[in-house]
Amino acid sequence: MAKTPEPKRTISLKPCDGDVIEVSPMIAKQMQTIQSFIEDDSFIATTTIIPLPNVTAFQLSKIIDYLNYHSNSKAVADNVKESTKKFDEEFLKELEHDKLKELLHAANYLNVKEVLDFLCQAVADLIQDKSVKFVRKFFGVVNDYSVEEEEDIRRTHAWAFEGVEED
Amino acid sequence: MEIPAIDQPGLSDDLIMEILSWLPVIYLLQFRCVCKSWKSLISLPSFVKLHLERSLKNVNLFLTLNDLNENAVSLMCCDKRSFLEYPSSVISDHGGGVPLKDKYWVIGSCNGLICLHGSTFEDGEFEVAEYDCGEYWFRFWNPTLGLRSKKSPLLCVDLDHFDAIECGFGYDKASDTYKVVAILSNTSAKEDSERTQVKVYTLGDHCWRDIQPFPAFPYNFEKQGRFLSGTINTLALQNFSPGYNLGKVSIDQLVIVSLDLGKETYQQFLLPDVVNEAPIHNPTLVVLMDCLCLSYDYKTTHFVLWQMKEYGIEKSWTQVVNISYEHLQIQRFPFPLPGPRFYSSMPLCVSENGDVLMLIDDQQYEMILYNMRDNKVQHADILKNRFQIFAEDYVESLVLPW
Repeated sequence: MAKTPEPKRTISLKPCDGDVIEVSPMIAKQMQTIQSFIEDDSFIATTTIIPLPNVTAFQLSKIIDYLNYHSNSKAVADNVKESTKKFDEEFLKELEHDKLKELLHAANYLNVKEVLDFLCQAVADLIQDKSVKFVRKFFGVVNDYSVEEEEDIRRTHAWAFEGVEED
Repeated sequence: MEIPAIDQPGLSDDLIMEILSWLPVIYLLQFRCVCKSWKSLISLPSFVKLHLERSLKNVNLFLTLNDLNENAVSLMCCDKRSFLEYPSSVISDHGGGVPLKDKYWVIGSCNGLICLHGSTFEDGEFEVAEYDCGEYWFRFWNPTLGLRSKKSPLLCVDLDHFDAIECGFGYDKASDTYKVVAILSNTSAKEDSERTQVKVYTLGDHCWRDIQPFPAFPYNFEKQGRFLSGTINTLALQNFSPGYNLGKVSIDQLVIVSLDLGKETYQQFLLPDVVNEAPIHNPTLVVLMDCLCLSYDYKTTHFVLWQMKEYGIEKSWTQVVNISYEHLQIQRFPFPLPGPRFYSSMPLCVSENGDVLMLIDDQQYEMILYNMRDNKVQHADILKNRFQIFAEDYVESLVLPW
């Protein structure tokens, strides 16, 4: 028995380097940037393609993968937690440092809180036992301290001692 | 069609803040030397708050160890899980930790700040007869940053009039301030109005302020108010009058008085509705699992713990533990001195999953782990008769103690 197909209810997103990707309204809703597009009265979801000049097809599909997986696994049972952890690990394994940073940019541009939080934590985990040199390189930050200034900060673990008197 | 090249600028300050907010304090201290802008970013009040919000999920413990042999007090922070699993690896035979001068005592822990209470008396009690005015002060300490405040302005207490002091330390979110509350009480005062006085010090201020008198009589076996969701909570007696026998208190005579640190007004909560309860001993108010909990000794045979599941909702009192000392493998013998004191077990902390309750029994200063799920009891014998231990939940934060 053939059913009549449901009318198309997806949002069309066009990454900068690939074909249009269709996403469900539920997924699109989590991308604040897209959401504000859709909420605009002049927008007709079924016909308009939303161009995303700052997002590659790879980044977009990664973000959609993440949202899809996590929206389907909201349960708190231990085995679900376990498989979610596994998914997250696999998700990050495929990302080299540069790709991770770029994905962070894309998630920031699309303003997807869930993915952004996840990636920020991932970057934090990545840098937390690394040297200051590594961190500078990773973030492309130039050291603007003099040798003495840097030594000074390294020596004093605390930031400031103003206002502290000894007993 | 040509693919437009994406200009990839460095990460914005907002994003860097988001990333750094997930890092433990120790790394943030190191990363201050990445560059000047990171250093100032890490010290921004908005960053300190964001970081605190994240850190509140990683609860550690702050321990006060009173070494019974050396008569010395030391303080340490530790991971809650390792403490519950291997208490004797966290607390060595020598204690460890930072020694605390004997005129200080810990009042509370909040958002990474520890409030220390100092007085002109060594043990903080009104025992030295030659003074007629007691001087008290407070210091705020962030152990993770290694920063400590100056002394607060002195709180002078007329010892002819007041015979006990109970303090609390907490945070008011609305005004973004930390406050110390000191409740002074006088057991022999004839008039209700003379019986208590409540003073408040706001961190950063230059003076103590009087607020409305306490609406009941402080029952200060604990001498420490408990901070929870913007309020300081203490046990108190209803209908107190001079000559009241503090040794024989039943549960329906006690209430919780809760002081809202923002509004500086009081609320009272009834304790669990227990019918025909015999006098209870050492009723103690603590915060466990982010809830107010009441523990007491029942008929000197049982340890009982109640939890107020929803703050301020009297109907939400739930008995979570009612266990005999026999099962806890404690041989209870009568307290050798007369007076309202009995040996009892005090709750120290609960594991993250809510299963394991750590008790310290003050008869032999033994640590006991009680698994509330499978009823199993385990003794950490190695620390027996070595330390009197107090524990507070503690988070590592960048909050400045001034």
